Amino acid sequence: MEHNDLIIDQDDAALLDQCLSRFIDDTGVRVAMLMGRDGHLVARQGNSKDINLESFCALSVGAFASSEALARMAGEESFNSIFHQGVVCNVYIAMVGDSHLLLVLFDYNASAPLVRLQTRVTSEAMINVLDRAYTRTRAARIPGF
Amino acid sequence: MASINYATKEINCKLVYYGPGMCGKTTNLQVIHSKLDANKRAEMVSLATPGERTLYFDFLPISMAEINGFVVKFGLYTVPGQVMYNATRKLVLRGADGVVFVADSQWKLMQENVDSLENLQSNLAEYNVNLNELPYIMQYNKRDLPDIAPTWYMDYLLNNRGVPTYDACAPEGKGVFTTLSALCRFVIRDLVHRFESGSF
Repeated sequence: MEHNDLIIDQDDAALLDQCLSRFIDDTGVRVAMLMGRDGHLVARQGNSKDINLESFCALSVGAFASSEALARMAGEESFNSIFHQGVVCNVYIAMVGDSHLLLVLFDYNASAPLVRLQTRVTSEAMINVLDRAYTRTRAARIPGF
Repeated sequence: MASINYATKEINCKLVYYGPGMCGKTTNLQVIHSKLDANKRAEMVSLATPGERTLYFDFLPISMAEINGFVVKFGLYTVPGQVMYNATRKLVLRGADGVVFVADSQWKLMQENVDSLENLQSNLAEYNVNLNELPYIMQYNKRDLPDIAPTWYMDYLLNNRGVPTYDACAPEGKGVFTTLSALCRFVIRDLVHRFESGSF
C-alpha cells in the first residue's frame, strides 16, 4: 500500500509561511492557508482570529472534493479552483499540486483576478517546497520516535 | 495520509467511522463531543439533511495523545450511511489513516452490514488501499436492543480478518471511548512502525 504521509520540518514550515506572507502582501487578502487534501492545516498566515480553522479546513476540503467529483461527471479531469462569492467575504480554493489546497479568504480590499493570478505563482513556489518534503519523507527514518 | 509538522509540533491523522445507515456513527461522535474536555476537542460540524440524516459528513477534531513533545490530533469523520450517497462516502475516505466499521447488531440489518462492508472495501480499492493494511477495527453497536445477533455470529459474518471488535451502546456512551482509544492506539502504532521501518 502506498502512503502519502508528509513530514514538514522547520525549514519547510518557514518557506511555506514565507510564500503565504508574500501572497498576502501582494494581494491584500485577509487569510491564506495551505491544507492537505484530507483537511489538516499545514500552514497559515494573516488574520484568522474568530475562525474555527479546523472546521473551516474540513468543510473547504469537502467542498473542493465535491467540485472535483462534479468535474469528472461533467467530463473534466478536475476543476482546479473554486470561488465562493459573498457580500462582504469571498473564499477562493485552488489546488497546490495533487495533494494540497490553498485556501484564501478575502474582502473588498483584494481583487479576485489578482488573487487568482497570484495563486498560480504562490502554488508553484509551494509545490517545490512540498515536493522536497515528500522526497525526504519517503526516505525518512526517525530513530527513537 | 498522516502529516507531521515540526514547526507546530503536531501530528495529524484522519479517522473515519464507516457503516450502514442509522448504525450510530454520528451518535458515536456526538457522545465523544459531549464527554470530552472542551480543551481536547473543537466544535463538531455536521452536514445533515433536515431529517438529521448525515448528508455529507460529520467532523470532530480532537487531541488525544502526546508523543515525544508532539500533540497527536485526530480528525474524526463519519460517512453518510445511506446507499445513494456513495459518491460522498468515497470522498470522505480519502486519506484516512484508520477506519472503524460500525455494525448494527439487529438481526434484520445484517445484510446492510455486509453490503456496507463490501462498499468500504471497494471504495478503499479506488484509492489503492487494502483494508488488510489499514488500521481497522469493528464496533458492534446497539447491543442493548432486543432481537440482536450474537457477537460470534457477527464475527463469522463480518470479521473474517479477525480484527478487534468492541460492543457498544452508543447513545449511553457504552463502548464509544473504548472503540476510539483502540483505533487511536492502532493508528499511532502503525505510524511508529512506518517510521521505524522507513516506509513512512
